[in-house]
Amino acid sequence: MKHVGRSVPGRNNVISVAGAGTYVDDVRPAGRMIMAVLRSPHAHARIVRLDISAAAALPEVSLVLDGASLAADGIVVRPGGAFANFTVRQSDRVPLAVDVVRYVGEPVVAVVAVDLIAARAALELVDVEYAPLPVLADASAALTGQPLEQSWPDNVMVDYPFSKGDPDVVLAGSDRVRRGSLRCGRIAASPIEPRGIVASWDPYRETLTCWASTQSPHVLRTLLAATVGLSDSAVRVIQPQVGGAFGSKLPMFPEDVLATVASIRLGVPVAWTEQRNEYLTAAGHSRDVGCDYAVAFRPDGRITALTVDLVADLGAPTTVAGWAMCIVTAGCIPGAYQIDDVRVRMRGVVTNRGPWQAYRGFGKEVSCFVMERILDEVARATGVDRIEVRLRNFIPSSTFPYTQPCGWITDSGDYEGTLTEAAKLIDYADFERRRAEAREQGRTLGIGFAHELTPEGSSRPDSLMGGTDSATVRISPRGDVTVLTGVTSPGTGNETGIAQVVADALGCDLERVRVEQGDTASCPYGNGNYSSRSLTFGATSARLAADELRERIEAVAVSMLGTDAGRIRIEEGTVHGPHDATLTLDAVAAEIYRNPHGRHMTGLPPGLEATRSYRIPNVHHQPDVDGRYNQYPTWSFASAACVVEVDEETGVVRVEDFVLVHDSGEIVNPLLAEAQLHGAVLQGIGASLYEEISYDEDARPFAHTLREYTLPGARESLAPVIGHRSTPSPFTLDGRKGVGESGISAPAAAIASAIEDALREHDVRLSRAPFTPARVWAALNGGAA
Amino acid sequence: MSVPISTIVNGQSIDLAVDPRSTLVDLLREQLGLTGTHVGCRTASCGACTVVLDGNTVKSCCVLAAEADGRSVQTIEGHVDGERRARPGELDDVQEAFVQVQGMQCGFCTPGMVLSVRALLAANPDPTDQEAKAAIAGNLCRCTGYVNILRAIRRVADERAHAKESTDV
Amino acid sequence: MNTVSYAAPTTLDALVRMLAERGDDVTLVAGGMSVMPLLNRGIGRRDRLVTLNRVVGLDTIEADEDEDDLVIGATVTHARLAADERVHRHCRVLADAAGGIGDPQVRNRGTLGGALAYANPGADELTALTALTATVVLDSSQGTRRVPVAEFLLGAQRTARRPDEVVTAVRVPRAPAAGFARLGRVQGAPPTITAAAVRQGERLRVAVGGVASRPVTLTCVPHALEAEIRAAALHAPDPIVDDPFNPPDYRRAMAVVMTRRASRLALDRR
Repeated sequence: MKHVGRSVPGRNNVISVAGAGTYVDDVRPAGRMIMAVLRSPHAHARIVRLDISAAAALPEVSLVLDGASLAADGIVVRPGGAFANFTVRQSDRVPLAVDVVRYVGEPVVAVVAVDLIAARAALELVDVEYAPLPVLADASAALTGQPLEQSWPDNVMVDYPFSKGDPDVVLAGSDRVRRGSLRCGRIAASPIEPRGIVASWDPYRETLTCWASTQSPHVLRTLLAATVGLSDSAVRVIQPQVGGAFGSKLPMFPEDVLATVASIRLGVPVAWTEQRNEYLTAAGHSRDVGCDYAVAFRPDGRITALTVDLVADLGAPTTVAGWAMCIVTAGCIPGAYQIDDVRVRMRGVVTNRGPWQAYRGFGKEVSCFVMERILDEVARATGVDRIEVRLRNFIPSSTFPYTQPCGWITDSGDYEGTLTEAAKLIDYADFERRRAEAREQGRTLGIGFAHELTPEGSSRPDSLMGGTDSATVRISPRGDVTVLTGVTSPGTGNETGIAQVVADALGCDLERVRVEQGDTASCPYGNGNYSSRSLTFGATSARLAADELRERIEAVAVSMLGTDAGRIRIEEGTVHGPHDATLTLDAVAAEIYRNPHGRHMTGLPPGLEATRSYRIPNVHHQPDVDGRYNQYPTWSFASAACVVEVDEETGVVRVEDFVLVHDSGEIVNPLLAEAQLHGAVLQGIGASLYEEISYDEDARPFAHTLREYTLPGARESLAPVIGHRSTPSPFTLDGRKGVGESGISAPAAAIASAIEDALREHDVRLSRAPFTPARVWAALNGGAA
Repeated sequence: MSVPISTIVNGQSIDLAVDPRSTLVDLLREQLGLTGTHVGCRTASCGACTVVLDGNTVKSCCVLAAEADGRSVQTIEGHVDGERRARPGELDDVQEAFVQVQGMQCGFCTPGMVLSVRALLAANPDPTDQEAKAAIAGNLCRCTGYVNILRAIRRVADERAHAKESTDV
Repeated sequence: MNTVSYAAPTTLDALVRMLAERGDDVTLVAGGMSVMPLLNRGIGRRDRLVTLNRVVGLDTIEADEDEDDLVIGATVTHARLAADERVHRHCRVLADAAGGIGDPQVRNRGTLGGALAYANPGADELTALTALTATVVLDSSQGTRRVPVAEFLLGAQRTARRPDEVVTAVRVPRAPAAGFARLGRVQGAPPTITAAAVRQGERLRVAVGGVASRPVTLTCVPHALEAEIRAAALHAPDPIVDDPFNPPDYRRAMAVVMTRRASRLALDRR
């Protein structure tokens, strides 16, 4: 029985359902003290006076940190990374504000006390006076305003232009051109568990142990060690159970450094658990992007030229690398569509809004929104059916691997396959009848489509996320298998998926395989989980290690059975030889351990432990050598179709049906993969209809609680119909591409398409996500939306 | 100042002193070490802190610890009969259904969700999809899209109805 | 030196004496669904708490035959209100309002008295009580006074309650022919608009919450309703302007829509 491809429930399910999971706030080393952070109430201000003496004098308070003292001690975070083809400006950061605060929520002072009540009481005693400075409230202010960073000439942090062919000439010569503007609202990933860290310095051993709700323990270890001046070997980072991440827990945060510095200074464990209002203001947002586009096309809907000018409001610059999402947004245009004359420019500007942090989609969801709205516009302008216009513009399946205009290399695809299946599953052919029937009941329905292209496996040069991962597979003397992996799980269940892959590779029972992850002391170097890499990288490196052991096992088994290589097969823990001879894997393991000098081990390496690192192909980081740059090895994709009902009086939109046909190559565990898709689709719907981070004209955030930043609840949910297709990657070992981000991008455009279809008699245009009831109502009543 | 209270938690009588400013979730997590109840928002929004107080589901982040005086509290660690702690591996049919149909991913909302589902099915053994959604509306989940959670509810409802039919016959 | 104080009085008498002494210095807690989120964020006085949950007699629902009122105690929860048969028969619009609040856990704790005391704009029950011309009963060491709801609610989180007073009950007149309509945006957000309409002979008395800081209310004949609500919404003092999801023009337009829906329900009922 093959385990890969089976729907096995997640192995941590039993722990979770019993409430027995240990999350970072449940980690309580003896002597633990609590850290709280005082944050800026202003979006931009000079710190005129800061007096921490009253706070420090409280008997329950052990330590108060401020920016000036950290800077004096050389505690500075240095961002890095190499950037081919575009400009990125970065600056070093002290984890607490020095002289100036640049966003509401920026950490100013950290207090360590016996408990949270005492810590918060101490925060209230910090005497700080601010002198407000002019605020860059949004991207347009930033483009014309004074530089936020002293050392920068302007506020453009990222400038990424690329082009192919000569789009301006084609546009000028075309009599079918449409221009428009689009906007995506700012979004917060909002896992139900906020961030947290427990830092514990052992002053005798001079070692640091941190438990952190993080996606990348090894990366956090290196970044933390470098910042506080420790050897990597003296630092251990442990990822306990994580209550959701979706990108928001990629290292490294100022609070990680603060808790660590505090623990080193005090010699006791220091814990910081984030409060929700801190998460919503300071942990980082995404997707605050606007663009202007021009598209030229033929009467049959074939696009001949496209220019897209994007501006991303990156908020205040920090050391968290969320800003890199704006580069991905640009690079994924024109995405799934073959357009040979195209110009794209992304300018990411800094403002006094909150900083950016990674969120599922990592910029591709904005690209999808842009492209899909443009395709719909072309369909509207030409009268060509929305499915048909996409089919006519898709990159043909026969041309993969395909080099995008930005230079990135799309591995494989069959976009017609998913789109036509999505249209079938939503019963597009029957929709007009359904619409008419609803109309008779006084209900307004519409149908919409969108296609999403989801590059995965992000691998960036000169970063700790460069395109590899490692795994160790160990088999014990009694045949028990342990896999130690460098990838982590925020709940996705990769400990189950990896076990399935290893069990197949070894031929053993699934129950005999235990996967451990998240501890830098035992797990080989890895980058953690992001960009859907856990099975693509994590399971593949585990498989490579397992394959190495399999070779040894087979050689020993062949010897023990006295037969020839190629005449055995291994299934469910039993080696089957000719003439019904059998041998358990346990017996083979025992032989390897007990008789390394025996005849069955002659010429073979001893032991049953292998560590392998997997460097994924189709990543190119040497453009000066081979002229190629590609940071995404695998490109999943999906097509969505949805039916919405619009209440024309109130603008309220309900998603009635949602179909997602996705193609991520081989699927290891359909139950877990589909669960991912369910979550991604509702997150996508959330960003389309219910969620937005707003700021006022002084860059003060509106949302401090989940009453303002409203996540979809069960009543907003529906069960999407999921279709699977598989166009394997020609580059990865098992053809896998990664599932984790599929479904996050398509909903916004599919829903916009459906709302416009529902309201087609009113010629409504939706260019700004989310499509709140007020915006839909305004579009219906003559306003712009 | 500390307030002495007498409360029953998962069937066990407990006398302890609480800081009047502290909340029920902090009493459970900090003072009693029952960390299965989670904190996600402290504004009665997310429901990760849901426990049963005198028979009703409540959001313990917004209940004063002193409120537990003279009352009984059930958390996810408690056996479903409310009389004692559950032993490791001792799951009720709601928990079993969650496990089998993958009704969770990260698990952070799960304890609160299970308690809300138990309350739903105790009051309404055969809920419609709409009724089920309304019953868990106060438990936010960011991972699952609620799809498998609703499947778990339907599965338990069907299994219980089937079991009842078998015994009724 | 901060001293923390906490009191759990068991009689109304003890409670009002406490309030007479320290009413402007304490935070009252009942269900906690309005006050605890604030205290948890450090807003308000956490170190001076008085709980209402042990005061005997605040959680009853009784009919007052003489005045044909239903007298609902301040600590009656939204859940109990929504389920109570007497409330359904006497003033169902209040039960309808209560049943749509928040979620089951919030309804299990949140109280009618708390909703009144916190006077959040658009709050479901407050809109219903306004249309019902209910009366708020307040007690203090100086005795009991009754204040019509429309005079009790003064603005966002502002009421006519003096610091030495506590809301002890609400008196609700009979109103079988009434309708309630709620426009919500999403789980967890305050309602955008709540509307209640009560038949009064040939006329309708309506209240709309969510346009301004207190409910807009008027009485008129059905065919004039839309125009009158539109005008009242346009001119309502202290309009809600700071919600980026629901700008004022949308709220005003929805006030008309939801009033229409509530009044249709009221007109369909006897």
